[in-house]
Amino acid sequence: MKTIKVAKGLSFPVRQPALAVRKVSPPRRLVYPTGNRWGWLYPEVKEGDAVGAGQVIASSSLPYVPSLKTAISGTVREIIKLPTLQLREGQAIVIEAAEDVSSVSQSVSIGEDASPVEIFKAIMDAGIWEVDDYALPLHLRVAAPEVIEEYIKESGESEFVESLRNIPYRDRAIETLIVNALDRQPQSWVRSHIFASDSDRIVAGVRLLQRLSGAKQTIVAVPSHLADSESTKKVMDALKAEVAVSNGKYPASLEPILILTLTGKEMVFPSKNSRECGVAVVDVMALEQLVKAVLESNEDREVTVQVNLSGRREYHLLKCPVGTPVLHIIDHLALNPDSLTKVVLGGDFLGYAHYDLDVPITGEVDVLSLWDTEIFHYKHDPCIRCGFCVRVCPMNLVPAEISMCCEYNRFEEAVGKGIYHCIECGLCSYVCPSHRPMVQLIRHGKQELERAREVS
Amino acid sequence: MKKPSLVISPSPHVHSGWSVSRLYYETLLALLPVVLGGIYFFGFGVLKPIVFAVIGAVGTEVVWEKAIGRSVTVYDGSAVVTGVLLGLLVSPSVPWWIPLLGAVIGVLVPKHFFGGVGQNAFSTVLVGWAVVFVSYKAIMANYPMPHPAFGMVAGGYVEYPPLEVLKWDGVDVIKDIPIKDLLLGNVPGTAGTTSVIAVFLGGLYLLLRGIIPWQVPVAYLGGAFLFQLVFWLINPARYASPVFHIFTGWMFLGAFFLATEKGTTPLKPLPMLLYGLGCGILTMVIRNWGIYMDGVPFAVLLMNALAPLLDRIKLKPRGRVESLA
Repeated sequence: MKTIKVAKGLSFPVRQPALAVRKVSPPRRLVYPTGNRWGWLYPEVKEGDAVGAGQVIASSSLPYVPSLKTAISGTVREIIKLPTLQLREGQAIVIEAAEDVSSVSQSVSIGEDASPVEIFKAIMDAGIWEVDDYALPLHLRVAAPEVIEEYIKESGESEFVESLRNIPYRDRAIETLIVNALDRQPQSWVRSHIFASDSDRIVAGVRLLQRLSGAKQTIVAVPSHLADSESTKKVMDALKAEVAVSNGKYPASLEPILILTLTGKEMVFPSKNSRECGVAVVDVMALEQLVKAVLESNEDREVTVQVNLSGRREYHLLKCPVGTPVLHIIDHLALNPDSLTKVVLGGDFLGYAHYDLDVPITGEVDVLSLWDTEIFHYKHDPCIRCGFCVRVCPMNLVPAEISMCCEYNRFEEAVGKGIYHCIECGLCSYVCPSHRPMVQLIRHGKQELERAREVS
Repeated sequence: MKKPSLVISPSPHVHSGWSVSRLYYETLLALLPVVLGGIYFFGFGVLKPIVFAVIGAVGTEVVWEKAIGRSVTVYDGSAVVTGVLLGLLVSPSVPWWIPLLGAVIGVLVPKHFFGGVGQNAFSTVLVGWAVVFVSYKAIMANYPMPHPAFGMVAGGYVEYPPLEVLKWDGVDVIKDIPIKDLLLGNVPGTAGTTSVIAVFLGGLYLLLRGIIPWQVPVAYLGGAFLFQLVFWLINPARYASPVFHIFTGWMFLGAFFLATEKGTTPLKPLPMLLYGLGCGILTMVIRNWGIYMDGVPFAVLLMNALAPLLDRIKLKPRGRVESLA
């Protein structure tokens, strides 16, 4: 059994509360955003259309933007303006449940002995959205180069296939498959819960991906409190996989750190394309979704989401369909939406604060944090050069200097100091005694550099 | 459903609870054993320079910040820490205006002329101390004998601070000073510089709380020890033992409190080690061959000037950057 040793980083005491999963009462109104971290989707339905559960309601002409399917049967109520999870202005399709519409599953359901290309197609059609900030969606990240090649040959010529050819590092073989059961950030226990409670699905999912990738090595990363658990033993025996145990440091669960500590390979920035180093990381939340959609042709698209009432140290694990608006969950927990001060989707360290309660829970959300108490504000005091951020930065950067360069618009200097290496884990801001919003400044710098590159 | 009352902010949405004021108030807490040790050995008189230095430091900060129209940052405690440290470095027998003048210059020149807390390239305490020390040498060179309040006999082996004795009378005389007296601080000197145990208690607290990096004190003491060890092994009749040097004078205070002042140290691990080593070696150079009694203040000030240069040594970031077309 390996240990995942994160250099620097920060240890958070594990005080996992006993969490029981509860099902949210089925929402009557579901909201589907038409954009995710990889790009935009175009609605295939219009207002007033009847849609059946499993029907594709939005898709993209690009192969690296997974399509969107509805989990319930009903009618398209309206198409509204709604920010995506990453807070880009976009659209969302609102669907209202109706009993008289029958489901029309468009999924390709496959057996456990399907060929790699069939698996590739099935995952692509399933449209799996993931929590982590991967460069490529699941099927393109994991598939062996021969599989993509075969798919291109089978499908003939089209714009879609043409852009498949342009996927960066498409010809790199995947040598190692890393199954990530580490919780994404402190105060989050969704992944370890799924790993402990749903190991059968994880085994089935990893088997599919092993065949799809042709990876010779499979490593399962588990948190320390699950190191000796039943499910770890089961997964280890069934998959003949190596098990790596985390020492509980954040950010062990983030892709670049995981790849570095488990394989010793350094990722390329800023694209963060794991194909380049022949590794594919997949987390257990995606595996559960994958198995439900591909092997069980289950169209309910249920995800597990953890709700933190952060001010009160109260934690809930809820199961709800993809597309459930945050407002529905607030109602389910019998909270007063007017008393809320902050709503964060995606966790305390990596999440996005939202102002619209229509924003839904999707596969991109693992933790929903709600505050109804006094919240912490980052003021903009000058750096006192205490060096706290240098001591915790897992990427070995000097966040204080990089963020100062970004603050004074010296972006090229920030590149020299390694701004592209930043994985935005948030630890530098977390420990900063001057309360400097370093992650925000670095993100701003990256955006400005991106814009400068587009213009030139 | 938009809710304008919801707060929008970038991640991370939580904070560890550290703040500039907490940093400095915890440093003050770490100085408590040193102050108590000073009171034990030298009586309540040691509070006099501390009080005047704090008044000088805090007053200067308020007046300056009001005068140039900045928000008053005196509540963050950095001026208080400067004052207390400076007060611990001057003898209780000096007139009241010495610590006051030192604190005014220390807060004004290296700190506020350069932009306030954390922007000081040179240690505020040491600049203040150096100005009064160089200007009023005769007044400053006046060290009281210890007279422990209870439980202990006054260390009667030397009448002057051990380092001064070493400078004038050579190695043979200081050999008689028991290590116990050096450790506890039962020797002549100023409140902050005699008791190694008290300073170490405070320094340990700072280390455990993560307020100061371990690299600086470890490299400082280690560098000084090894450097002196070499010369002591070569000629023990001319050079005092490294153990004596480590446990005497400003060494511990310098390693834990003065060399680690925020803004004056490098930020990266290797530069911090080099900085500490440089401080340690320079201290021993000045002690062995210099004209000053103790090398710590000038060694630290010199290394302060080198710190930005040392900080140019780059860390290797993890990961690679691909060529951007």
